[in-house]
Amino acid sequence: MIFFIIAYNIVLLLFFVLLYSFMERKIQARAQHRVGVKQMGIYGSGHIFADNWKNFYKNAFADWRALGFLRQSSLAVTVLSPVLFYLVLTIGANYFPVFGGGGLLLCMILLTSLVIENFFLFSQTENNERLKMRKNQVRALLGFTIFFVCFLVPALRAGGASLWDFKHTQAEFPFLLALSSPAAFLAALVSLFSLFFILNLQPIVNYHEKYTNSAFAFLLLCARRLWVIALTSYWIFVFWGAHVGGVFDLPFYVARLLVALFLLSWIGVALPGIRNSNAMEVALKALLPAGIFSLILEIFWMGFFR
Amino acid sequence: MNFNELVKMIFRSLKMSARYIFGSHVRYRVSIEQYPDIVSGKTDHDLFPKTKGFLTNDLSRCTGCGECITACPVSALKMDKEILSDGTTKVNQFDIHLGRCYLCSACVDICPVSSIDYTKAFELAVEKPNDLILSLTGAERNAKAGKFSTKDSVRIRTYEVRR
Repeated sequence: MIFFIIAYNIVLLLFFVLLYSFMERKIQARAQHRVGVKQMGIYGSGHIFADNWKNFYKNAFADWRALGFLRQSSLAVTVLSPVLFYLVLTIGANYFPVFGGGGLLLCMILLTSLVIENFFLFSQTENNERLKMRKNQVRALLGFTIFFVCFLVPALRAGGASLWDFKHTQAEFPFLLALSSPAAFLAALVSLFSLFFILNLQPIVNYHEKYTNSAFAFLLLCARRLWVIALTSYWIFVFWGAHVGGVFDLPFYVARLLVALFLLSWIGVALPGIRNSNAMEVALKALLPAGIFSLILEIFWMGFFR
Repeated sequence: MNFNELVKMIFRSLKMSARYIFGSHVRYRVSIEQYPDIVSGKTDHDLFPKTKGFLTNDLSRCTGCGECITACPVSALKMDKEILSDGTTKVNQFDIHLGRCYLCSACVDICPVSSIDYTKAFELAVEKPNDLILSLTGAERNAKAGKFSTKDSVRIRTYEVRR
């Protein structure tokens, strides 16, 4: 039974990767006043298959044996960690009450993958590119900090930070934990913006393309999309109701995830006109204070209404 | 950049992209650009003397010798002629593929009666590729040439306009 559930969730995840790739490209095209993908399939729906198929034949694969252990393990961690993250998120909260539904495990997966990935890339990059890479790391770290501060707001409401606690709080506020208080709503908005900071991993893909192979970079592009879906699912889980796991909950879950991915794509389309330093300024001066303010507001709210 | 300006810029960019994403489809407005220009009042005579527009052939002067066709390096010219009973040659149709022509002047230089020459009209934007073939026939010569003639060269452009 557990294998069936795992397979079901992996298939769902891969389906979301395809859907998100298509959706992102179409939204980007529409915002840039283009038609977008249209050649393959109905309304360009087959394009993502054709594009990926092309990628496998564009450059020859490098020999795995020639890569060395560090590079192999970092690639494996980069691709597999979002899948593990998603599996723990969807299965752990429902079927795995030990360690609070695997909330601690989620953090471990996230941190380990980040550390290994960054260690590998930092050892590979040249000196003149390390500054750029360090900027990306700082940006991601800032995003994580903001997300963590915002995450504490519903955690206060749930009385714990584990997936298990969240799942039981969702029963109290069905579907919309984000609307249970103004502080939670603010935290949801701010953390959605902070996801943009975390998930903008495109430069890292470029580094991989330079130092490994474009076919691997394609895998890592998939990994980025996997991370987008895994972390957005986490955001939905925290602020917008958990995926209970049944087939009947599936349409609601898909709808919620699609809305969140659409919002992320919209932010991604709108914000690249802003320089990295300016984005950091906004994150430091606006998003982080807003997150802390929402935390204080939530404390007062709970004091008055409970 | 001021911080307030920055926040405003973010909201503006979100709003602008929203207008593009959620807005209705592109609306087209047809505007007519006329040459001679109505606003500036400039005509063909204000162009440089050596301005090369596209080719045309005055069939009333053309003898049908076919020198231009052999001289053309890109085979842009095509001629349909017949020899009459009195020994003269009549050109029934003369096609000029304006899409192929790159204004090398080989035909203009070699023409013994100077029937082939450049016009001053240069607006060549058409919707279909076949419209670039300027086909001149004896009877409807003026009617066909009128589409590209210098006096009333009217070009219809479509501009994409957002609401």
